[in-house]
Parts: sequence; C-alpha cells; structure tokens
Amino acid sequence: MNEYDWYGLDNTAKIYPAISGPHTTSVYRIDIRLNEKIKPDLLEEAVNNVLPFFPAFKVRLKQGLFWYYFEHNFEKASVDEEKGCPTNRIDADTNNDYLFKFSYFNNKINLDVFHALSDGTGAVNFLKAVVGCYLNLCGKELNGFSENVEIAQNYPAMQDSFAHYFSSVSAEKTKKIIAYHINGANRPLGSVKVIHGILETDSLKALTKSKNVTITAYLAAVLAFSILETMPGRKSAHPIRLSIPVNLRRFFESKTQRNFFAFIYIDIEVKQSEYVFDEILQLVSEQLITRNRPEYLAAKTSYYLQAEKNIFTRLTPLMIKNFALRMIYKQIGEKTYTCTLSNLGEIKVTPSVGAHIERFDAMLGNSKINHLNCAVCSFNNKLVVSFTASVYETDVEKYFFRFLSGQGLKIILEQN
Amino acid sequence: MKYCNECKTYVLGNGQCCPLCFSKLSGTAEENIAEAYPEKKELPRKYNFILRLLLFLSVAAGLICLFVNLLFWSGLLWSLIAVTVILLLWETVGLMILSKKNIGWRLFAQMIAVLLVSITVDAVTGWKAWSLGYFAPFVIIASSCAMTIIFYIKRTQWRENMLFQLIISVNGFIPVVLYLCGLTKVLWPGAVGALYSLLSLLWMLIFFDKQFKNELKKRFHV
Repeated sequence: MNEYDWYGLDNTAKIYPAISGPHTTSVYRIDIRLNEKIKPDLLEEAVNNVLPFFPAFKVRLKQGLFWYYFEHNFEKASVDEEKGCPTNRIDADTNNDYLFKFSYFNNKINLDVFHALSDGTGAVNFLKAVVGCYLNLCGKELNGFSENVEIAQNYPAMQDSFAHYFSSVSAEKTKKIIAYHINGANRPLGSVKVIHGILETDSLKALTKSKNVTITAYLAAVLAFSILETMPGRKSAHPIRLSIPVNLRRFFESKTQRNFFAFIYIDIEVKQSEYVFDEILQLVSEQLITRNRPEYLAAKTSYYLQAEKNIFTRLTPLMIKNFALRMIYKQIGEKTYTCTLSNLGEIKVTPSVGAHIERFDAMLGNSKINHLNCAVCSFNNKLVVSFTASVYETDVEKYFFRFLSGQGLKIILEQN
Repeated sequence: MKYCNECKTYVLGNGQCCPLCFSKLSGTAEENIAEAYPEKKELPRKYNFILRLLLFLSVAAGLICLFVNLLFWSGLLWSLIAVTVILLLWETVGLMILSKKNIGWRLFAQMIAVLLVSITVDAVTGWKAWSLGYFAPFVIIASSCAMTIIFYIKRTQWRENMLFQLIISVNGFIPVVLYLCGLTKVLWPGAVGALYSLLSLLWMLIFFDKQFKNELKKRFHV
C-alpha cells in the first residue's frame, strides 16, 4: 500500500466508527504471555518492522463526505506500558492516528484493536508476526519465522471479501428479536473486569467428545445455562440469545487481513419449566449445526451488503448516516443479543516460536447494554475463557466456572 | 497456587479473595510469578488550580471591563474588544498549544478567530471596513504562507495540509468579492490576496495534480 492508496471500509467495519463511543468501544484485545520480561524498545522496533507487511493495520481513519475511508499512515507506531483496562477506547489522536495499540506489562504483550480494522483472525496473525520478529530481535533462534512474514506480504491481504463473495447472493432478512439482558451495578466508565479461566484443552475435548458436540457448542451451552440459572426469578419475556461470530474464511477461500466474519445467533426461550443442562446443550448444538452453514451465512451477510449498496444509502451524507446507524444499532443491534461468545479456536505457531510462548488470551469490549462478553482461545493445551464485564456482579462467571469444575475440569482463574 | 474451596478453582496471583465468589483463598501464591495486570489505581481527578484561577481571572476581567464601560459610558463599547481579546487568548492557548489536532486545521481555526476579533474591533470603533479591506487579505496571505511552509516541514501530514491550503486559498478570494459587493472601500489589498491565492492554487495543481485528484476522490467517494 503506497501513499496514494486508500480504501473504503468493508461491510461490517462500516458500523464501528458510527457506534463506538465511551460505552461501546468496539475494541477487542488479544494478548500473549511470553516466558520472560518484555523489552519495550525491541517490541517497538518489532512492531514497526512488521507493520509494513500488514497494510490493513498501517492505516488511519478519515471522514469523507459520504463514507469513512482508510488511508496509509506514515507515522511510526508507539508501544507503551499497559495503563487502564483491556478493551478501553483507543484515542487515535494520541496514538499517532493508529487504531490499534501495542502495550506490554511484565511478560505480557497486549494488542488492542478497533474492530473496523480487522477481525480476530487478522489480529492474531499480526500479533504472531510481531512476536516472531520480537523474539528474533531478542536473539532467539527461530526456524521458519521469516517465511511466515513473506507469505503475509504476498497474499491478497487487502481484499474486501464481503463484496467479493456476497454481492450476488440473494439476501435473507434477520428477524428482530429482543433478547434478555444481564443487568447489574455499573462499574465506572472504562473500568472493565476481566476474569480468565484457564482449562486444559485435552480434558475439555474429551468431555465434549463424550457428549458428541463441539467445544464452541459446549461452552455456549454452559454459558446459556449459567445466564438462565442466574436470571432473577428465572423469568424473562425475552429469550437468551448468544451471538457467536463465525470466521467466514473457513467456508470461503480468503487471505484477507480485514474483517471477514458473520454472526450467528443461538436462541434459548426462557420457559417456566426447568431445563436440564443436556436439553440446552442439545438445543444449542442443533442450532449451531443448522446455522453454521455457508449458504445460511451468505444469505444473512448479503442482506447487510445490499443495504450498503443501496443508492440512497450511498448518497446520504456521512453525518446523517452515522446518526441513522447509531439508531439502528440501538434498536436492532445490541438489543437483539444477550452476550457474545467468540471462539478464536486453536492458535498455531511454528514450534520454535511456540517454545517461548506460555499462552494467548482474547477479550471482547462491552456495549452500553451488553455488560458481559466472553472470548475463548486455546494454545498448547491451554484453553482460556475470558469474561469481560462492565458490572460488579460476577454471578454468571461464578456459575459458569463452578459448573465446569463440577464436571471434573481443572480451572485456574486470573483477574485484572 | 491459591485455591478457592467454594468454587473448586485455582487462582493465580497474589489476591486474597476468589474473583468469582469473593471468599478467602487457601494455599500460598506461586513464587516468582509476574503480575499480569497493572494495579488499578482510582486516581481522583486532578484539581487544576492554575486553570481554574485563569478561568476566574478572565471572567472577572471581562465583567469588570463591562461594568466600568457601562458605568462611565463614553459612547464606545470598548469592553467588547476586551472580551473578544480574552476569548482569542484562550482559543490560542487551547488550540495552538494544547490541541492534538492536525496543524492545518489549527492554523485555519486560528486565522478565522483573528479575523473575527479584527471585525469586532472594527465594528466597535465605528465600522470603517479596514478589517475586511486591509487586514483580512494580509492575514489570509500570512496563513497561506505558513501553510505552505508547514506543508514542506510536516511531510507525514501532507494530505490534510494540502486540503487546508486549498481552503485558505479559496478564502483568499473573499475580500475581492466583498469589494465587488460594495462592502469594502479599497481594492488593492484584496486583489493582492486574490493573486496570491490564485498562484498558490496553480502551484498545487501543477506540482501536485495527482495527489490533489486523489484527495478529492477519497473525500467524495460514494
């Protein structure tokens, strides 16, 4: 990407600049724990060495008359010691116009990313490349690392895969369903509570295999069950609705560094009669199987794409568009789900790099009425479930982890 | 590692309570473990005495001027000049020194502020239109020069700076238009300003045509 290059935001990215604010930061964090203390100057050098290979990150956000756009950022990215809480808002004005932020603390490297830039997959790749380069600068012997960066440079990293795949797919509208919301006493703005639960991937895998479900389905079921059990009076007119992001690269060949994901929703009606866990597990698993199909995801995504391509939408000035998007998000965005569960899956690195890494964590930012979110990622037999909460209550997390430990799993907790 | 007997979970770190149920943990913390997160310090919001003092002094000065002006009325509302100058000082400090915004934007805003003050002074001292006739063209030329220098110094922000150079240059034609409408009485300063603006526009179009076209395309893409 050179100094003249610019590109419009992809379909999902378009919503984030409009809705993000102090409450809804639209920021997620991926962090990595190494075996030794971080050297800040080398980390900064590594970030700036790797950045040119990740053009989707080396950008700044600008306003046009009709749309936002990204253009090349000439500044260097800076690295600071961790301050504040994970997923706090990234202030581009004080961050050399960058919309991602590297920070470090003891032996941990954090990467906070504004969601308009990229999704979890893109950010993990970026983080992996930076860590590889950092370890290299630290004088560690790494095999096969430089090839990884070579690949990152060559593939069509800047493709808008939404437009590429879904422009001509017939659309299907998503029904508007108001979901149940977890309430509580709000923490001060920007002070997010993070609770990590570290599980052994193998023992969880054995457990889910015995139930004949996937790890995502199992964790989603436990989460839905926890929300149900901790619901005041177990009564709600609205269903529990989990929003589960799906990586579309799994179904549609794409090497993009930009966003390429879609949400699927899992609905659990709150019935008067008591559910047992296995019923919920079955409900969740069935819905996941029927919805996690390329045709279903394509039709749902295409609906938003066609809304974006509408000539009236396009010709509306950005200010009005932002206002409209905020209203729409309030009504049919955040109200329609209870909680997000994002499973990044297993993160793989080359063995020589992996030898220096202890674990990865992922965290999601909250929104004004969605006070609890959950992200999962695993590395080297360590599966980390991270809850981010903007309320003081920890009922759901407590139920969730107690349930899992009740299944005979060893759980190690960590909090911020 | 510490252990919570209620939740049946292990807990990392030096905390005394379980993060889930807040009951007391048993066991001892593991040795040599690096804390994962910085300690949360709830800093009380800094009480900025100097800022408050300056704010009070400026409001007081404005009010005293207005009071004296009205009490000993001499047919001239000079207190308005004092108030606008105080506002200009605040704007200059806030925008030119403290703000993190793009330099081109700050320069443009400063230019507008200075012009507004000059128009106020002109209006209070019995409108002779010198603010628009003489002052405005030269302020615009000066801003345009400054913008050109910034354009070459601050190369990483040339895209914004080019846009503000364009905006300032377009403003350079306003004094001539005002003369043609009969609002000002003198032509030559405005004409000099317009010539300068025209030259700087031409300079941009000839030397940076590609960048210019690209910038417009970006800003107006549908």
